[in-house]
Amino acid sequence: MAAPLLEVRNLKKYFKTGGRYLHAVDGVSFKLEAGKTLGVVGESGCGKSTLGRAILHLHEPTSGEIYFEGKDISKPSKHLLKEMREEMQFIFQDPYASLDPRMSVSEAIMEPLKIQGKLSKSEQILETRRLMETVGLASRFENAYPHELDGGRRQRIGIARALALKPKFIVCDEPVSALDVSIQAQIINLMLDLQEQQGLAYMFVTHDLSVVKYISDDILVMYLGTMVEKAPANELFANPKHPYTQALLSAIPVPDIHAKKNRIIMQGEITSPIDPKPGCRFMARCPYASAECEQPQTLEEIAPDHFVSCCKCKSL
Amino acid sequence: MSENILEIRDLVVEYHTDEAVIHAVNGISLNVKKGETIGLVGETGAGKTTIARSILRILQTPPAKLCSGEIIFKGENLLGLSENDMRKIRGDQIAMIFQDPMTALNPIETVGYQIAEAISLHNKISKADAEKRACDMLEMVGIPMERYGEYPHQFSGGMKQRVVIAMALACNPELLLADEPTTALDVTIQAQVLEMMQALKDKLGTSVVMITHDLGVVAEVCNSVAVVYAGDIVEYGTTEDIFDRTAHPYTEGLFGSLPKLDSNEPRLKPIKGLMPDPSQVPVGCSFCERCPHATEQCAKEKPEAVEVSPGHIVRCFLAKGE
Amino acid sequence: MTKVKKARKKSRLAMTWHQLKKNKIAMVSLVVLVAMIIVALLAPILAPYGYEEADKKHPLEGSSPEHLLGTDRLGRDVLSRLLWGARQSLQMGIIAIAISAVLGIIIGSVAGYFGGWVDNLLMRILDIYQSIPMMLLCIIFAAILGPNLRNAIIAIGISMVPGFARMMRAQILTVRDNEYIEAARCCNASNAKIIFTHIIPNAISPLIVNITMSIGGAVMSGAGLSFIGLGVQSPVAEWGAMISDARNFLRANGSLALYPGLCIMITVLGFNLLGDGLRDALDPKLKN
Repeated sequence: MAAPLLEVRNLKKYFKTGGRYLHAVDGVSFKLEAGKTLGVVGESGCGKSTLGRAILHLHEPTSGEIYFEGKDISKPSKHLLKEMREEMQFIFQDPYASLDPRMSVSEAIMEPLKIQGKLSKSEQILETRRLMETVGLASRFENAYPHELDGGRRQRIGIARALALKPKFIVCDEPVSALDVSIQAQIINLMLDLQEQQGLAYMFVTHDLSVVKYISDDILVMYLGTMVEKAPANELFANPKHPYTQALLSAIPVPDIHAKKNRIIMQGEITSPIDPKPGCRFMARCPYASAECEQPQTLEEIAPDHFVSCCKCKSL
Repeated sequence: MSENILEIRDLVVEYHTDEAVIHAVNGISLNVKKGETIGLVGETGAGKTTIARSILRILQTPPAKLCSGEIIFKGENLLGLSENDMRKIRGDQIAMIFQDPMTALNPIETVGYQIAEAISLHNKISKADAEKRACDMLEMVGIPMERYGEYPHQFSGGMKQRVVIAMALACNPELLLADEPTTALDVTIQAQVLEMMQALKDKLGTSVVMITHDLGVVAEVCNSVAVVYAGDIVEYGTTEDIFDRTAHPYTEGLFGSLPKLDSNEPRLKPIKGLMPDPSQVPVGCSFCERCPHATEQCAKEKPEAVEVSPGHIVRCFLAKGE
Repeated sequence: MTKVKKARKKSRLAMTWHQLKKNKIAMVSLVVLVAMIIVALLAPILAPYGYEEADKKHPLEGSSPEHLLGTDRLGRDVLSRLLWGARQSLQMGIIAIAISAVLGIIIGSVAGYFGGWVDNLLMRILDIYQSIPMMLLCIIFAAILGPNLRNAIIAIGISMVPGFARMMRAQILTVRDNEYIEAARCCNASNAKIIFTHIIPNAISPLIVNITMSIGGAVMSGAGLSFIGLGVQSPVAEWGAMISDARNFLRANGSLALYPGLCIMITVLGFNLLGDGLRDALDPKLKN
């Protein structure tokens, strides 16, 4: 097997808050092949956005290794970081906040090309037009400003910007959660088309489980910074092993009035990620918790490509 | 059939700004039966929230203008009431839950005090009694009453939404308007809150108008559904009518836009285009530009509401033949 | 809800101007202020007399064909002194604010962008500085440096630095945390590029408004300093000094204080209204 496009090993990102440490990402590992999609799901505050940002060094990771096409980019030099950011891009959650309100559509899309400086001015303009066409933005919007456009069109600008440098890997941080359903479907289709045409690999961060099932090859479930389960999408939905995954999946409201509902209603709420205890972080809400859960959990491969971090998953 | 607690007849609401007149609600009619949950489904800007705010008469006027129509609550037209009489109904008989629990609570008062205040506003009871009721309300929404004296920032998002619900239900209202009550919450917390709302509704017999964009939530909690598009109700019926016998192309489009958990179609089937500019309402059907079945007739005249089966109303020319 | 015209791309300045033109009150203020500045520049030509020229035979007179607005206690022509005074007063306002704005923006940007101990140090210094009343500061400066126009300008300028610095810092802090800054970092934009193309253009609008409005305030402070004798010295004409001169003759000839007072009022009001108009014109979200 060829080296994966992206490999992350035991990545950690702690934030210091008043002398204590918030464990935003705590030991996440995965591999991603070119042209595939890894879905990362979890509830707010589980560190899924931080994970994406740490991989792109938007937040400097605390420890862990990141390999891109076999190159070690865990602690990149300035030069390497620059090179790397042409290969790896980011699509932001909020199409309202991620565009400079003072830049017109074409300026915003041209910005990465301008900074890269490989193309001449006229080539940049042509390339910008081509990118607008690729993401389905009519050329009459060239001189429009973001606030004049609806959320869907703004997100298309964000996508065009991300594509400008022809990356191989894009972190998509909840790219559709701020959009209406009908627009959301348009954007998801666009992203799938682009993936097919350009062989992009996505890391798709979201809290929307039906979207993630639809778009991902593999799914990684996070809880309070830790990785609780990772498996191929269909396998995860058919055969969730971790008690948290099970509860999460059962909580999705299904738009079907005849669906059987075996809902697992979890008790309590997410505990604090600041200086957590070493044991399983889900323990406080887990219906099966017992003394052995207080030990640090290890990730086990219980079926091909199906990893679970729960000491009880075999006995359940 | 049980009686209607709320009837909306031909409600028209416009927003008048310097540049344009925005037609937010264009003559909708709606019935809410006692003890029933009705879902108002639609996208941003469809006019859902305007409808709810018109019922409570909390729209900013101007720019908003309630042009015509009637909102009949227990046989009384709310639009004809004086502001004083309206104040007695608001919060007491009709309560509202807002989308964002983070901003709906006053950060400098304890949550218990805020609930007690809501109670004593509408009931002439002693302070001690109000506090006692507030404690009961907290327990009812699953918050231990020891937390009576805590401040909103000490609560998580889901807990805050519970407090907001407790406040709304404190006076035992007959009608609850819930504007996207779970949108800001995580799925597992959403499940908890929906479950709790459902249980409380059954216990207290409250009628609920549930405003949401999430068809999953509708499937879960609603008895009937009104699909709102560009200020019109395009389809209206029981949950079974809407989910099993979908008749309007827009409703179909909404379902097609959702990724399904149990199928593996290669692409979603989104609705093309965007909602029409509400300041320039098209002559014909408001959905005609995005509709895959649109004909010339659709562009020229506005379709009338057709009752395709008892109680299932569709505003579409295509629905006639069925 | 999207109304997009196929408009030709305009520069930011042109767009702001286009917006400002729609605001009648701001335009009237602008015209008045421009007229005021032109008059100040052309004072030597426009003024019928020099500011020192005394008509000793007609002191404290009302308006007459020779002296349209009358004369002061030494028989100097009030109209001429008002015109000459405009130079001093406007200079004080504009130069003082220019000094404080430049210093304030630099200090505020450095503190806001770099944060940490730099921020802490600068802000604490400003804290101490701000605990001294502004008028007192001006008096100290004027007393140390000697009372004249230049020193009054320096005094007012320096005393207004903390306000601008704080505002700039707060602006930078809000803009710095926006997602589009992160987005720019994603496409390899350098620090300098981010500061100059994203942060400053988005942070500066409220400052421009504030600066405009402060000019009026500075004109007032200048007049105040001159009134208490620490600004422009006699015989040079300045509106505040003119009021100060006139206070002993309020009963004999009240208009002596009225005219310079009106001039100050119109100038201050003009800058404030213009600032208000700019606030709307500079907001990209209010376009169209």
